[in-house]
Order: sequence, then structure tokens, then C-alpha cells
Amino acid sequence: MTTRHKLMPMLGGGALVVFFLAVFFLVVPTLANAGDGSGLQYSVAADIVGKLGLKESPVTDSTRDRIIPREVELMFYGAIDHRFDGMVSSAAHFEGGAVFFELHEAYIKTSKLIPRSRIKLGSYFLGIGRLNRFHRHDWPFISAPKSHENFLDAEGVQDTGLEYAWLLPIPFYLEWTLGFTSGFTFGHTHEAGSRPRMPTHYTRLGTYTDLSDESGIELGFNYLGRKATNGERLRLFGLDSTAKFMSGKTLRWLLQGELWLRHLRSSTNLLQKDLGSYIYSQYGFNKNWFLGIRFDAFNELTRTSALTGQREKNITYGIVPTATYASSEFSKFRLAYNYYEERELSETKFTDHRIELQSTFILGAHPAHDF
Amino acid sequence: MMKIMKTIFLMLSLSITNAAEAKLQILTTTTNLSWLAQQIAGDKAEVVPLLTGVEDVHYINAKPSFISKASNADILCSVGLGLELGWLPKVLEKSGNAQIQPRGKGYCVLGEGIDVLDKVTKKVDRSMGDVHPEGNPHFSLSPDHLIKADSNFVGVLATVDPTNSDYYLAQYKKTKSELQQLRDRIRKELSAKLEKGTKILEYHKEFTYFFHAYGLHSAGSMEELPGVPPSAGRIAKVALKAKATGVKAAISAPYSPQKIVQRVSAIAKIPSVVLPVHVRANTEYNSYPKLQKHLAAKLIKTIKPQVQP
Ligand SMILES: [Zn+2]
Repeated sequence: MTTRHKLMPMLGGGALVVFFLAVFFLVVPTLANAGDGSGLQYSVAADIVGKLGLKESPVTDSTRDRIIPREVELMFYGAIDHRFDGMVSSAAHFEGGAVFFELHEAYIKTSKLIPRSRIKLGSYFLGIGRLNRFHRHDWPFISAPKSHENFLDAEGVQDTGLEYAWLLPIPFYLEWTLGFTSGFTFGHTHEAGSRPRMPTHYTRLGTYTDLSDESGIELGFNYLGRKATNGERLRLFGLDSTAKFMSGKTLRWLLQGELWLRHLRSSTNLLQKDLGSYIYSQYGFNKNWFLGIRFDAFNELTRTSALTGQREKNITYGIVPTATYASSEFSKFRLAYNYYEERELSETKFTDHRIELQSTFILGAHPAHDF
Repeated sequence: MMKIMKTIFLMLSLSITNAAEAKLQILTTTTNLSWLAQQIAGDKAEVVPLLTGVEDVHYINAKPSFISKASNADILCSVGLGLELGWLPKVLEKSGNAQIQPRGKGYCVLGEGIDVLDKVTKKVDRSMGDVHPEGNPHFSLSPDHLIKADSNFVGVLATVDPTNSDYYLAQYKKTKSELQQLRDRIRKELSAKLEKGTKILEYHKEFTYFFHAYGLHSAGSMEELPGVPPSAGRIAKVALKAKATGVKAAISAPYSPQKIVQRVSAIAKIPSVVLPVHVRANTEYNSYPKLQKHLAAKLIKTIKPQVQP
């Protein structure tokens, strides 16, 4: 379960970074002294984001029109013994004008116990979809697409449980992931939650094929389910895909997208269906400069008028061009323009224009990269 | 559902019977290592490189196809010395194959215990670029270093497959003498055409061991910080120094930024040449001896017209 403390709510962002770095530098030398030869690795990842609204927006967002450390994450990881590895991370979030300090991840894992298998136990980001499997500071853009935010939360779904991944014994890559987590809460919340009628359970079937010596495409099929205390039943069906085309050390072209369908059945047996997706295409000029564009779409399939009871066709879409300058793999700067428009019955309900800036950097060790 | 279960069961049993009859499965990261492994394992093993020979080994993605291959491997050989640090640990972990993970009996790091060049004596931090803190890991272009790496490999091979250890030892001795002969031949050829100590500038220090093996001299790298393209100031400085100290050529790997190499070559008024670092299938350097010959021939062709005007 996530432990959260509302810490120093009145404290500004700068003080937060100072606080974290102070903790880091106080803790680390002690560890280094005590942990000789243990192979413990540690790092700090900071994610500084500035958002600037170009127009009055109906969206209430406390992080708007200011620059904040969206997240400062402290990570400790390494071998626990000859069988197990461990990872503990905690993060400070800036939310609603306050700073929250929370346990982000704490899990024990092994890939040495059962052949072709990986087992993870503890608190972690669920191994589904694409974005949900990566820390936000490792994403190729600044903020979550609309669909991800609505279905899996702005950062991702994290919970406590058990995850098992098995590589099928066939000549190509096919990995089957199955997980169960407590499901007391779902998505980002500062509540303790309550015992669900059916815990969160999820599965992903991931496959991959090389397209050439320097390119490949990954495909994932996902399902997640949960039945809340009040009887509300959530089901998510998702498809994720990522293609990378490398040229030497340059990621020449990245194409990444996800498509999710959500079925939400209320305790009174009303079914709400939503469909959301994004596709992101990014071109790399060299190993430093990247330019990408993301298209988001979100559709409430079952939205009806409160007055007439008629179906109301609607769509929210977004266009997000993003420029990235990567000084190295440890430091990146991004600039993005976000345009969102919600349309209902062929009329524009609202539009939102904003500019986002990001600086992310990593101090200390960084684990090897995934595809 | 029953059908799916049946299929899975069939696949499982197939893979088990296959494993019993099949040859030893050896994976290597680079093609130079796979050539070496195949020489020693002979017909007792199937050796497959993860890379093809075109890639820049420093910057690789932990592709799921690597993970799939690693899950079936009996041995996985890497260069080590930090070269594959950015991606290989992920492949090993995700393979779920305990045997090829650190301290498993099929875990094999060929660079362990070799005579490392360019040892770093200063304290390393990230402001120094992608510096190799354990010294220069690009040893595979030196036959002498490869022989040493070879002995690491034989050790692992004999542990994983002890019944054939005599065979592997014999293969090792054969390969060792072949590599020594190759080295002597290339050395003779190079010393006949190029002056001893001929200075050559590299983009990244990938050819240093080759020069070391054949009495040539690396005049350093164009990069100031490894992995970071040199600034205009650095380019001018390196080029002028090269000119002043009698450097004969500027060489680089195919994935190095050619514009920079051209610029250095133009300022220093020295020829430049792009050379392969790894064995590659379907090329004229599809084996290690051919790669060595190719490198020597290309160097002579680039430098010689100047030496004898
Ligand atoms: Zn290098």
C-alpha cells in the first residue's frame, strides 16, 4: 500500500529539491560506508516541469502557469542475495499546491528461480501497456496522453501485489505477464482505499519482431479488471505498440501508440464505455535532437444527454508537438505545445492551448535500458 | 481452451526433447567473439552473435529478440570491461535464465583478466563523457588479446560441457596457434609497407589494440570526451596537432560522424578512411582473419602513397 504523508504543504518547489538532495547526501555516504561490497546502487531522478496556459482554460490544474519539480525520485536497487534483487524508490510529488512524499516502489524480484520466468513481489507500476511500464522521466514526451490520464492516471497505476512473467518456449519472443494486486485503490490517490470485491488482476501478452538489423517492433495485448467495494466493475482492454529504427547511436524514428477500451459497470448495472488512444511519432536528427508529434483521442462511447436521454457523439482530441534536446542519456530538455479540443454533437465545447517545458536529469547509476 | 493447452504442452515437450539432443547453444554479443567461440566449440555448439557487426556496441537497445535468444542459451559471452553495460544486464535478467546470469556457469566475460590499454588512473565522473572506467574494452582487434580472452572462454565451455573438455582444449590450442600465425603474417605485411610507429588518429579509441598488436601508434582520439562529438575548437586543435606531429591518417568506424572526420582530415591534410570494427556476414571481412587482412590492406592503401611519393 502506498504510504503518503502530506509533507511541508506550504513549502515551495525549490525547497523540496534542496530537502531531497540533503536527504540523499546524508543517507548515501552512510550507505556507502556500511554497504561496502553489497553492490547497492542509487540514483536521483528529477523531473522539472513548467506549464504555461495560452488561454483561459476550464481545466483546473494547480500546476498551470508555474514551474515546479513535478517529481523528485530517489531510487535504491541492487542484488539482495544470490537469488533476489530489490528496488526501493520514493518520490516527492507536487500536487494541488502541496508536496507529497510517497513510497513509489518497493519490491523484491528474481529471474533465477524458475526457468524463463521473472517474479516480482511488492509495490510497483503494473506491467501493462507501454507508458505504465516506464517511469515518467523515461517517457519520450512531457505529459501523459489523455487516454492514459483517464484510464491509468497521469503517472501510471501502481499497487502492491505479485507479478509473474513467463517467456514461452518458442523460437520468437512471446512473454506472458500475469499479476494480482490488492486493488484497495486504483490509480493515483491519497486515500487508503477499501477492500475491493475483486482485487486488481491484469495480464499482458507481449511479442516482438526485428524489422531489420537496427529496427524492431513490439506489440502488447492487455487486460485489466477490478471490482470496487461499491460494486463498480472496471475492465480495461488495451493494445500497445512500439517501433524503433536505430541508425548507429541515433534513434532515427520512434513510433509508439496505445489503444484502450474501458468498460465501467456501475453498481446499478449501468455500463459506461470509453475509448482512448494516442500515437506518437518522433524523428531523431542525431543523438541530441528529436522532434515528435503526438495525436490523442478520447471518446465517451456511452455519453447521453441528461435532458433527452439521447446519445451524444463526442470526442476530445489533442495535438502535441514535442522537441527534445538530450545532452546525454542522463539529461534531457523538452518543449511541447499542447492543443486540446473537446467536441460534442459537432460543436466545440472547449479548447485548451498550453506550452510545457521540461528538464529531467539523473544523478547516480541508471539501470540498463529496455527496448 | 483445451486446444491452446494442448498446443502449449506440445511446444513445451518439443523444446525439452530438442534441448536434450541439440548442440550447445552459445550466444555472444559481438561477431568477433562469435567467430572465436565457433573456432573453439567446433561442431559441438551452435554459436550465434546478438549483434550483426554494423552496430555501435556502446549504444544498443535491449531488444526482446535478444531476450528470447538468451532464454535458450547455455553460455552467453560478452566483451565486458563495461562495454555492454547499458543493455546486456537487462537482457540477462529478462531472459529468466539463471545459468547465463552473473555467477551462473554459462556466464562468460571474455575481457576479464586481459592486459587492458588506456587504463583510467583519474577518478571517473560523468562530466568526462562515456569514459570506459575499466580501461579500453575494444581489445578484440588484437589477436594477442583475443588469445587471452580465448582461455577465459575455454574455462567456461569446459565447465558447462565437461565431457568434451579435451576436444575444446585441443581446439583452443589450434586456434591459438592459428591466431599467432595470423598475427605474424599481418605484422610482416604491415612492417614491410609502413614505418614502425606510424601515427594514426582515431575518432574513438576502437583501433588502439590493432595498432598495439602491429607496432603502429595511436595518436589519440578526435573525441575529447568519449561518446560526445568534439567541438569545433577540439577539431582544430586535434587536426593541427596531427599535422605538426606527422600523423599519417585519420580513421573511424562506419557509425562515427563522418563530417567531423572529414574536417579533421582536411585541416591536418591527411587521408581518412572508414574501417570496420567487427566481422560481418556477406562482406569480404566475414571472418576474423579476413577482417585483420582487410584492416591491414586498407591502412596500407591509405597511408602508403604518402610514404613513397
Ligand atoms: Zn568505446
